[in-house]
Amino acid sequence: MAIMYALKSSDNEIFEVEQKVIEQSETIKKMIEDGAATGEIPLQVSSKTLAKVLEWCKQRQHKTVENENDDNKGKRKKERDEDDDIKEWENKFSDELKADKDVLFDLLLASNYLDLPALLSFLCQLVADMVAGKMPEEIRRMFNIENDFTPEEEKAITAEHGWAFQP
Amino acid sequence: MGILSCFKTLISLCDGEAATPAAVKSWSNLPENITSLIMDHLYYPDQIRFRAVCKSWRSDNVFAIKSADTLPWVFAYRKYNNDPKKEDVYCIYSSSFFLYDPSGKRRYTIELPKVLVNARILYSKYGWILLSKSSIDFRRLAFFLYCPFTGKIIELPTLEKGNPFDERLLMSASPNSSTTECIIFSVRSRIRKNILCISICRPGDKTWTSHEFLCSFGKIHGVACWKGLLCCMFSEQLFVFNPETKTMKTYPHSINLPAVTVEEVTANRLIESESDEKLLMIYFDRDCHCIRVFYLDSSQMNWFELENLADKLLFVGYTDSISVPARGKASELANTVNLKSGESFFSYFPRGPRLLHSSNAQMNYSWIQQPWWGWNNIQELNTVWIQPPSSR
Repeated sequence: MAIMYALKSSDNEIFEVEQKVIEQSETIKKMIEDGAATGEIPLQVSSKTLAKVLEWCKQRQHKTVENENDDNKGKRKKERDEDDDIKEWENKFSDELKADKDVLFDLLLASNYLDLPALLSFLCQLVADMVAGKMPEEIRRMFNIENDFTPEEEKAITAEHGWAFQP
Repeated sequence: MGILSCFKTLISLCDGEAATPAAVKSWSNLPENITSLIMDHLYYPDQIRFRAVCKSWRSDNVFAIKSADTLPWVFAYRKYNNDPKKEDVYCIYSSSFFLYDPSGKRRYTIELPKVLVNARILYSKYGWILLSKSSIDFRRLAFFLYCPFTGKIIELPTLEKGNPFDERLLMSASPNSSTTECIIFSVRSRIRKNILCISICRPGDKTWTSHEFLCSFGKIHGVACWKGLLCCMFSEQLFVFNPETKTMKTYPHSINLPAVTVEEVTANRLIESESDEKLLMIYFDRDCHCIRVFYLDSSQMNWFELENLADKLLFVGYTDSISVPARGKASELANTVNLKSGESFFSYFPRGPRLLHSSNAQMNYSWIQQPWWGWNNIQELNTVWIQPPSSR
């Protein structure tokens, strides 16, 4: 029987999760090791965000378990198929986040605070892909960011690396 | 740690999300470690634009952040091959130049600072170009370090003019480096006088310090800084100078190398591979029509051939030979030696065939050859490899 833990979101929803899945979070892993995780583990992460975090963790866990159970026969083909499956899953995951930037933002913070390096790196790559090739004004519009530079500051910034702002 | 205090830590760690009302939940309030991580995934020009979005994204420790660029860029300027007075291909006569970004597949047009028009390119590394130009005293040369990405210019002391074809310049590190001292070396082989002259200066110096050695080995085939030493390649031997002790040593080549024709000299054949601290030598073998790569065994100071570059790729030119680890985009070109001639780019496997022009890997550079509208056919380009400043 797998050891289960109960995670409580900031809006008091309970998530029953296998230890192996949730141990990907260095923060929670440390709590479990310290013996501090008895009963419900209260997390100041909303249920919507926590569900997404767990979706990611389960997918990652699934992947590592399958690799351990593989025998060598037909492994190559299986790995290739699996890689395709993971790619497909990741693309779907990315597309959802691109469409809802609030969730993406919350997930970035949650992965940072729960110390999930793989998820954090994945999300940072996603944001990097979203801003690549875009001008500052386009990026501001995309993320609803206010331009807080004075006109003088902005002029100095664009003068410094003028070429990078060529349309 | 008690249960309660541990929960408190976790709660305070998560506070960023919980305590933030919708108004503060703004992308401009991303923690700095996250914006830095995003920057790590961006190519150099995207990093510049990203930092221009808002104040909090303009992180101060930008010099600690590497860009995702692994492939060197191409610095290009127009060649005036119709004007006999302007026949030196290493001189930039035009008032502007181009930077080609192989990752973003974009060309940027940049104005050349007036002081550098008619200057001659001597060396390119770490995102900087080393140039020389006649000084006000026409018997002397003025030297400049120029970073085309930032527009920064560092003036270096002047040096007596020599024969530009018997002279090589190089630098040991970026002037921005906080770990390695930036030393600029000038190596002159005065064949008739039987003198090898090495001059040294550092950014900020008022004069060069020169060391003369009564020996001559002919034409210089390549130069590199390797483990803090200045290495010069000649047809018969390797010359090694230690800038700290100001002493030199020569090592005759342990292998027979074929004679080199004049045009083959126009490549810097020594390359320092920073990832594994190896000194590499490139050879064009006319008998097998292939490129051969050797490495120096530092215990015996002997050359041995490398059949496979594995996790590296090399970029070879007269003023600009570099070794790049095969990560990121560069992994498509792993184990290749990359050469250019004007606007043409070629990739070879060591001892092997040339990579097909239409291959995906070749497309990193071959797109540059596409005819750009508005160009006169007579005007061709001279090109120099250049690493973006934050790629290392």
